[in-house]
Amino acid sequence: MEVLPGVAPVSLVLARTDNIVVGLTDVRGYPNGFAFVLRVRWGLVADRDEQPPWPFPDWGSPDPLEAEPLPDALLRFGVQFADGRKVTNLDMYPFVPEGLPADQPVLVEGGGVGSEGGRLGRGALWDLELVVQPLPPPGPLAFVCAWPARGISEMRAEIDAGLILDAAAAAVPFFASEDRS
Amino acid sequence: MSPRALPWPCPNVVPEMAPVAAILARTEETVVAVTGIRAYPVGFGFTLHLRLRDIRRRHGREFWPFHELGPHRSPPWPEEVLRLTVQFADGRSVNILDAPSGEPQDPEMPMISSGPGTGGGVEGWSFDMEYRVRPLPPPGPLAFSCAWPGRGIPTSRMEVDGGAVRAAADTAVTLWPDDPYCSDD
Repeated sequence: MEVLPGVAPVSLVLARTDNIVVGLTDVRGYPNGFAFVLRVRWGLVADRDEQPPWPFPDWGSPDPLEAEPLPDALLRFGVQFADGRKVTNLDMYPFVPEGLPADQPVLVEGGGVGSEGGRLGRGALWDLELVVQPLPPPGPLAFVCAWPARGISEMRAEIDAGLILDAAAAAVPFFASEDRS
Repeated sequence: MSPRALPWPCPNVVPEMAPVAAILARTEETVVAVTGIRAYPVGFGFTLHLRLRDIRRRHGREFWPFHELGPHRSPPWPEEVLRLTVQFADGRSVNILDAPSGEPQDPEMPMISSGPGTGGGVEGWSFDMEYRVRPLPPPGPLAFSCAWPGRGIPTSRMEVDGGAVRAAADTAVTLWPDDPYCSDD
């Protein structure tokens, strides 16, 4: 059953330097998890020929997650629940291991929203839709990121998980015939 | 390049959210819904959600509900094309079928443009399409209305608080104000 999600009033700037921003918007609550858009912005660069890096740990060849140590060019991003459970983009849960406990949060990519960049010093942007399952428990919900190559040490922003739980409670089936309420 | 010709919203802004999630029109086979709203200093964005059943029996294989990016390019619009209007509290409005005039646009008149979209299907069909409207609405009811003759949907309307969109826009974060690519955004 597909649902129209509720929308939470959340817009965050997680990290910011002179020309890098990691933001987060469009938090939507579903019965079994939540989704959001990670908005990464790389501002103007002096070298018009400089190509933007690919900051995410997928689509890389060779697989950057197999490197030791992890490349500084990777944007590290994670979510931590109030009870300590957490998941990061380095866990690569598009490939969920068998036997993973049902209450272990997973972080997967949703539909990509868009990217652009590398043009004439303009910088670049990535809008990446991410999905976390399951829903968080009540209490603080933390979004954490670090990007060593871009001068961003670990940054953490917390919201009230109740905002997401309220949005999830407001989700409704698209079709009335699937509405059990 | 004219600033008005620049794409927007400029990536130089992290929008603030004015939460909206509502079903605009619904039958047993068709749903039109709106979520968002992403508020920027000069306008706002929202996502239009379409969910359709029974596509092939009704429309055959060539179904395309939008007036752009597909086979439908100019009026008269067939009944399978969705009509969507955004109306401000002061009466100003814009429809996605409004043709560009070719004249310099009055910045006070609302403009709407489509952004990225994803979706598809065969028997069932789903599509999520982003739209952007500028300028910001005045305080008061901000109305979304749609009509979709080919899907049996008469004119349907919902309202949200235009003041809430404006208030959210006030707290959108402009990242680097001197970006020459962002003009008045």
